[in-house]
Amino acid sequence: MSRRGRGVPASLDRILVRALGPEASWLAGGIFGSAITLAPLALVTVLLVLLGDVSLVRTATVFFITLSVVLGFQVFTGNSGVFTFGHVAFMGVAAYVCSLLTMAPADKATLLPHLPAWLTDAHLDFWLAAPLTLATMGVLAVLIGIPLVRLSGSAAAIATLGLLIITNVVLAGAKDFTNGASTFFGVPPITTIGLTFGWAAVALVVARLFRESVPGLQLRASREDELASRSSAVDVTRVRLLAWVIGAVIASGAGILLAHYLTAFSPRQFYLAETFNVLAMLIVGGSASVSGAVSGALAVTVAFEVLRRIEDSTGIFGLTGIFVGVLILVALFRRREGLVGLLEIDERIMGRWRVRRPRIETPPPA
Amino acid sequence: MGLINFAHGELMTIAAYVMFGLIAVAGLPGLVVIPVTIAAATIAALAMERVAFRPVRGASGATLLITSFAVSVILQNFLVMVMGARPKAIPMPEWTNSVVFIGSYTVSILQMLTTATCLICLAGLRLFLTRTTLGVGMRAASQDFVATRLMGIRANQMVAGAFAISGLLAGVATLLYIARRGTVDPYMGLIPVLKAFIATVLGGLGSLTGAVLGGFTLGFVEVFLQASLPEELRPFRDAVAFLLVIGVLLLKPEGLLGRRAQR
Repeated sequence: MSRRGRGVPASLDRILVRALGPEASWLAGGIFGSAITLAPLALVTVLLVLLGDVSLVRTATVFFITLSVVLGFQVFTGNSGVFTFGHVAFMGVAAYVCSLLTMAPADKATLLPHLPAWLTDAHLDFWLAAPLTLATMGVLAVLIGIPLVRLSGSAAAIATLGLLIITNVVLAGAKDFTNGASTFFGVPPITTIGLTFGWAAVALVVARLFRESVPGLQLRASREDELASRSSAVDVTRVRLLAWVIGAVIASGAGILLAHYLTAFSPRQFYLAETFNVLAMLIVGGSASVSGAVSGALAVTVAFEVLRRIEDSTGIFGLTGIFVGVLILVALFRRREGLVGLLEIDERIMGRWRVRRPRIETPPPA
Repeated sequence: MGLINFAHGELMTIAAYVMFGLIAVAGLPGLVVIPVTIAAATIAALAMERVAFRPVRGASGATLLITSFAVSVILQNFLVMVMGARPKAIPMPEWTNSVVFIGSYTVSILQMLTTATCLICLAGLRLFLTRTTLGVGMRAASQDFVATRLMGIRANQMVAGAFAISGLLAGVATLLYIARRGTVDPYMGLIPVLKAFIATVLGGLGSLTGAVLGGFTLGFVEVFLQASLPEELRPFRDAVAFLLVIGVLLLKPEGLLGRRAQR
């Protein structure tokens, strides 16, 4: 079966494969598909920046951070079919770690007097601290993932929930490093809408490419029928671990950007509420596809903003939570595969374009 | 049924607010409060089943878990909207605070009552599940839904029955929990439900005795850690408890006393 990236015209694909090998087909298809999903987002971003409305730009910045987390979840949950409650934990840890590296030593000394000296003195440039943090989180994700990816279904859900809760307890308890449950402040404000859009774009391309790569396809096979895929020599644990780590690194990047946007935060920001919102977006949009993750994030964010304004003007609090919950329920009742379904948006468009009526040749009557 | 009901905590919160209404607002005596609270929790559970869980019946465990998560969030926010987020005090009769001296130990009356209630509920549940048609039907439905219907058992009644019992027990638990706690707020359901999960998963989801064993193990581990951990590590007590759960899940995904699910 050809691994032709869907959406790329056959002629172009042939040229690419002949010149660069079958991987070019995968890359081209992935980038083409991501471009279709990214283009409207890029357009909106540019428009917002030109418009100059500060509050809208702020909303968009946070939206791209949230979108990155949703994409991180999609890489693992969408392709493996295993729900994770734990990836927001990686987001939180990355936020604290990177902040500790980029904060000015003077601020650190006042906020966290018991910090070890080498940490207090550390003052790295953001562009050095961020990759360092991401690498560390990657290693951490591997270590944590190795036991956890063996679990399926409810066991995995509870274990990853445990990961989230344990991380929250640790962050709130390690007062010397994190200021405990109190606000951690003084983080240099570095995040811009360009940065968050950039990270979301990277996440999108990576998620898309992974989905169509060999391990990605194997993982999706294991989602549909674990037993059959195992008998087809799919190392389910290994591909799940790969998705787990990729998702964790994407979420960590989002955490770092959030930390340097808010400049002040606490462990509560990276706990059940955030997890619930991300899961809502993923489920509503459709976890099986990257465009599903994007649509879900868009739909829920827009609804959220509208509801928040209603909440502010009428003074009734709790409306947004109720709405998000009802949204999830409706999505689960009516359309379990989500708004977008199992195929990517561009796959659907291109597929429909391609279908030709089969011509049945009837032999002339004898 | 394979459903992990995250919203069970909210059953307790609802029952607690009913208690608040009965005791603090209406000033009714215990004899009225106890049955009404239990009834309220049972009705809430039945409503939950009819509205939220019937449409997703038969779906995967994770889908059910997320449904219950959604229900829980909806109810929490609803209560915040209606009752406000601040805790409300519920005055409890004096005897709930009294203690009794056995030898050199001081034992709280409430703790003894809680233990006794638990044992009675356990025995009652066991009798119900093994001796009554509804109970045996429920166990059958959880094993093989279709075959149970073929045997002439009304499947919907089985599921509703299971929820009703969970509501009943939640009501009883709320009475004892509030007696110790004295206040109610919209988020109080989270901690009991988490402990319940840990205990049930530890003990094995299919087994009653497992749930009790899990509960005891969890309690023992918590108190042990509280007593033996050095001062700086005390806040991590919950983390250690959950680590224990994960460890058990890794070694024995069906729990200490659970049965291996049919693949």
